Amino acid sequence: MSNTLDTAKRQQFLPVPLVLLCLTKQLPVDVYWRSHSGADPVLLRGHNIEVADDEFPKLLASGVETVYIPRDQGEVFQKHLQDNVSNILSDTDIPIDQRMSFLNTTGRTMLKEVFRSDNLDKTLESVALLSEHMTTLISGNEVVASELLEVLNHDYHTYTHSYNVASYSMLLAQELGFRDEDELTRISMGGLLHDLGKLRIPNAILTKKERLTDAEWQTIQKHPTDGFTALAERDDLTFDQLMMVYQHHEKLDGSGYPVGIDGDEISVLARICTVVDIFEALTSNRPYRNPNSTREALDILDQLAPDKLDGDMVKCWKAIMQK
Amino acid sequence: MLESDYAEVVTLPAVGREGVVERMMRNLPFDVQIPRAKLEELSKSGPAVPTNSDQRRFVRFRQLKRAILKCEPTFPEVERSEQLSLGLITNISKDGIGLLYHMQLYPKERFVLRLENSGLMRFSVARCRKLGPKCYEIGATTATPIDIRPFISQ
Repeated sequence: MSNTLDTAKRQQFLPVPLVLLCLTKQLPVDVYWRSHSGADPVLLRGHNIEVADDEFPKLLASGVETVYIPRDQGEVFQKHLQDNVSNILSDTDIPIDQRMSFLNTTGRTMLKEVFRSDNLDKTLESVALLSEHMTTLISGNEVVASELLEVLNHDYHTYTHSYNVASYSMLLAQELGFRDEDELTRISMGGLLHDLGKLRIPNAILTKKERLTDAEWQTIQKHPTDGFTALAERDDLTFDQLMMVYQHHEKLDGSGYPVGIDGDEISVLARICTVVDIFEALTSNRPYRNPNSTREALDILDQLAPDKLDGDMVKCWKAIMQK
Repeated sequence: MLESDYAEVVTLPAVGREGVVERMMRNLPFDVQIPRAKLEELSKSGPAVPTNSDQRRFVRFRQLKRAILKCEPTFPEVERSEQLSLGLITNISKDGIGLLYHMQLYPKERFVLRLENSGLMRFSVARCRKLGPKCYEIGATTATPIDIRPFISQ
């Protein structure tokens, strides 16, 4: 009986990472918090009441990571966030690491939401918006890779992986000489979408600790094709973005999938995506293995270049990571 | 074309009594470079043994036949020329074909095929795998069932 009551109460509230609220002065929604796990949410701050600068950061420092907003105010909150993201990201008074952390949390929340929604139009809309924010932050500032690595999450969720790969792709492309902001935004979008086909793979396979069966491996290998076919008929993506989705598991020596193309047949943006995709996968937590250190991951990339990975890109990525 | 050698894999129809399609087949370049390793498999006949990765629902019969191929505009960002070219059909079933072609085709991309003594057939790419330079193995399906009797009776 009490479980049912708990569930009902929980369903009335949306959990929100507290870090999202730290950078906004006034909130158009009521904010609740729970003193301990299982406790009823209590009102912390009513909507439109000005929040003192240090109030939420202090709460965060005390160990509270999640607060709650009433579910029926969810849309108002999303709109408030989207309206404020640009202002926050371009506010140079806020330290860059805080802005990166803010975008990471906002971005992952957005991706989680749209990936779940299974609505391609909505996904593309959010991904385009998020990519513009990434461009504002990364190309407009001297972002140091080690700081970026520090603020990013490293769990195994597809939305986390996609967010990280997009950030890394942009960083690597910039270092390789891509300067045009529109191009960098397109690269970031490609990175956010590169694993779209994975959303169809059952979690039981993605998180399986034991060795995959041949059939499961075949299912995994279908994700570039599934992602490509989901996106290819759209007219709001470029050929190179589609190739980031379709070719990011191809290798220069032809040993990759789904086609086994080699050398210059693999698009430059797909090659960028491949390098950072492998790096991200190696350095993140996976249910079936512990993460590699940055050093170990770079050594593995070194072993794969130049036969399987673009040697210049790997060198460039190592230089970025060692800055 | 057999890799870099010019060895004929399929016999062309005799010149003289040929129709438009036969003449086109004779004049269009055959740009596929078939890897030597594939030759033994191509020389076999009869039904093909299914494998785990097969997505075809019906029995595939080995078949070597040149066909005229034309890509149809399918995706806004994938440019295809209007030009006709030749591909080599390697197997056929009631709902699809296996084909060797000199360039990569993308999943769900549409194309039409014209074979000797048969009408136009419209296909959609199911899979594409590179076998070597200028040689891609393409599996394609059709919505209209193929009457395979003329092919297997030859």
